[in-house]
Amino acid sequence: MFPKVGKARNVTRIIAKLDIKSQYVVKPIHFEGLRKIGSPAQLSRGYYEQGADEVFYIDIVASLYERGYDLAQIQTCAKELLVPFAVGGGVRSVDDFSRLFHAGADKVVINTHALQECPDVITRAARVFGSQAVVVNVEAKRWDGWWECYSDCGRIRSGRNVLEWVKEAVERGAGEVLLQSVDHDGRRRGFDVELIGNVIGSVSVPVVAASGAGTLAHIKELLACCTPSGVAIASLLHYGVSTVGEIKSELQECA
Amino acid sequence: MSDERFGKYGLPLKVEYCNCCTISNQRPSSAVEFQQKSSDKKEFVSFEDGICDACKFLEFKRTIDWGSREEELVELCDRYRRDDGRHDVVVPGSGGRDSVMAAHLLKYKYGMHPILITWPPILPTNIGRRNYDAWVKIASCYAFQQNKELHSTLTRLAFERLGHPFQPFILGQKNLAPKLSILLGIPLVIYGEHEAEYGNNRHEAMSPIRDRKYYSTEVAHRKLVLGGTAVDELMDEYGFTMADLQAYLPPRPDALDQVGTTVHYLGYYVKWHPQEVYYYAVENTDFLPNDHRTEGCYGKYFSIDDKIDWLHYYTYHIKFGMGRATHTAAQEIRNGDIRRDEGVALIKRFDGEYPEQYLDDCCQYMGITREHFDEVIEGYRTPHLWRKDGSGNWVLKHPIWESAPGKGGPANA
Amino acid sequence: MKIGVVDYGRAGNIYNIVNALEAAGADAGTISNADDFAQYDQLVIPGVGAFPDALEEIETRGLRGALLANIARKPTLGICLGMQILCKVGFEFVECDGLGVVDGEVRPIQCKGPVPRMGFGSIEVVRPSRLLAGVTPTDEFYFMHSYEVVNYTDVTGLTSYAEHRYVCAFETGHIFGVQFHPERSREAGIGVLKNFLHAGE
Repeated sequence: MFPKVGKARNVTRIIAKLDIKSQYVVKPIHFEGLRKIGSPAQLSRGYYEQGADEVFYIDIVASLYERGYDLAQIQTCAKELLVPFAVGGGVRSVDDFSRLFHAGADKVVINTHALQECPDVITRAARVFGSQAVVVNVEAKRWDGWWECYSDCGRIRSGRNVLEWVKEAVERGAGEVLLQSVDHDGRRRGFDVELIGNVIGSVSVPVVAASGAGTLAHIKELLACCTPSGVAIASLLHYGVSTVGEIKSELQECA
Repeated sequence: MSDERFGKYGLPLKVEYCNCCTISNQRPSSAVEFQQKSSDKKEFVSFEDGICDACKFLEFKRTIDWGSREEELVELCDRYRRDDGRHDVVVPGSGGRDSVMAAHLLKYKYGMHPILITWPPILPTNIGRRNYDAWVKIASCYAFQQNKELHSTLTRLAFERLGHPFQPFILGQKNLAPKLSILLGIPLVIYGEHEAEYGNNRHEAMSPIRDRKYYSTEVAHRKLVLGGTAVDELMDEYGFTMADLQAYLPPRPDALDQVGTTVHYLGYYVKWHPQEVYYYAVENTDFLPNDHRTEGCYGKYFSIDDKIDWLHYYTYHIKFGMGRATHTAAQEIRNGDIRRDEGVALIKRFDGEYPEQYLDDCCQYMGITREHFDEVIEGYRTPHLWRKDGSGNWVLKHPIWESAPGKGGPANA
Repeated sequence: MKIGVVDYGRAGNIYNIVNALEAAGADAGTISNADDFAQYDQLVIPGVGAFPDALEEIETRGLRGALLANIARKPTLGICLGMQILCKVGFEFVECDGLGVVDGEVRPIQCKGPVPRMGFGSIEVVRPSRLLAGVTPTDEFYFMHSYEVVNYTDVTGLTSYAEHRYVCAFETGHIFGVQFHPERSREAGIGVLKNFLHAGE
């Protein structure tokens, strides 16, 4: 047989997460506030050059404002990258998926419409585009003993239990989960490790853990407890605390 | 004045919207609360070249030299700072983001020794209580507790007679700090945000100092009006005593002069961008936004500590056609956080939602039924603003989403 | 060198493939109907789609005949799903015939990790390959799929994931298939696309 090549390496994807509002990357805290960080295209390019494995681009107000996404801006960002580009925010139909793939998305991310109105859109999208192209975004809010799914940029409750919803979404054909925490996002005090561990244990698809990284230690602590397929980082990168390269080096040392 | 141009509350019959933000000309400016009677005609917010006072003020704000304003603050603090480590500034609030930033900045950046003071919310929410607890990690706090019997009576009277259930809260909030300044012998009182930010008499914003007329009077207390009810009536017919009512009544100017009380706004000295105040509070303290969107609005951190606030914004919507979403959007447009069309979309979606969440609690507190609540509300509905649609629901005659798109604020540039 | 990317309707990350081909030095465009094929020298069949739906779209758009005719004559690169539909049969959602250009089958990936596979990985070049010329063991390529090609022998590349080693590239004559996404694999991917540009020589 063919000999194995290469040494063991950390395989957790390091993903740059861009929260988008109009022509800016913004960074909310607890899904509130629209502090501007910079230009989506410039930041896409910058994080790509730092070594990001993927870029996630989420229009965080499209559902809240009940409007569509900016295809031109998506195209501009996609052109800056030679790594996968996941795009979401305000996705409501299979046609939306299609338009986004034709404008630079490699994966499309969906939350509000699927969660609150029409879970069937996941099923239909997976039939056309394949599960690997359908990412369900979860905004999880912790209560006593369970987590609830939120929508519309972490504002509106759904009454759905996160663990049940992710199972349903995956059964319908979603191929990846982007898991965010309303309690931890933007706070830079660490991840909701219990949430992430529980979701990973509930589904067989890759889970991208997000929300809460403020230091390299937070990421290491997370990976010591569970094995998300990727981690999505925002504040840590946006505020220049660490670069993607530094994150990867740190994790490589522990691999 | 019976003038064809004016309707209920003395508001202009022709509804116009600010070209920049989402406020309409149906907005009264800040009344002197302890003299407010139901028959009062409102002074409404003026538009200049189609722009409201608050937006004009923000335009002016963008020209301010904040460096020199900060120097004034440093000089103020140097003048009042005690070097024996005792309290040297009164910071009123209840743990909302403004009072959090005010207390934190004054203590950690400007080396002051704040004493916090609280006129508690009428009906505290869980998030309000939680943020109050986080706030008092910064410094000690004098929390006054109102006589519940009187407070609930005044809230009900204010609701029934003025359509303004929030008034008892505002009364105390504006008076308590100067009174504690007198009591504690601490002359300097510092609030957070300047009221001019919301279009209240812009000329007053040129000074850091709050006009004494809003928190003191020489008028005999018996002649003042609380909850739309004369103090005389509250005593003679409701059986309350001057001791009970004292808390709501403003101090006399001579008492203030003895201590040298002076009330300032931090928002004069420090650029007060409400969104950035939220970030400051969250990044530097344990402040949290609410865990869900507020009814009638899209945000999670504006005015969330008092259940009566939900009613306040709802009654405001009935009277003036503008609810919480309108006010929040207007402020965010002015400050460049959102565009005008985005604000309009949010208002269309959320403004004026029925305050279901806490209505039962509020009605129980006021000792009224929901039916009575709905009846009273209808008495305040302004005819020139509302009509019934085909299904018998009340809808605005001139909603902002049907008016011409304005040029917007900084985000529209 | 003009390269046509087959647009079979709703699916396919067309925009990114066209841009990557241009970054590799090609003049790239899209093929939406049978008449569009003529102007192109080489073809790319994109990924990001699902097997049965892709075949159905090709059928309903009247592309099948022209596609097969052009594949027979022109260097063709199938990416991910594009590679899979060249096979004889697929089992995504339902059993479904592929284009039958190569003899493989497309079945669910069997491994010990999360599926779909989602992430970068290296490849082992197991036979001399024009497409994979210059690829080193430390180059990494992006994989994003739940199905793999089995029962096919003209294999040029293997990859490992979650204790499973499987086909990630085949090459027969002027027909190439890659399971990974060269248009999303940084410079290593552009290198593979450049090799494809010269495949006709």
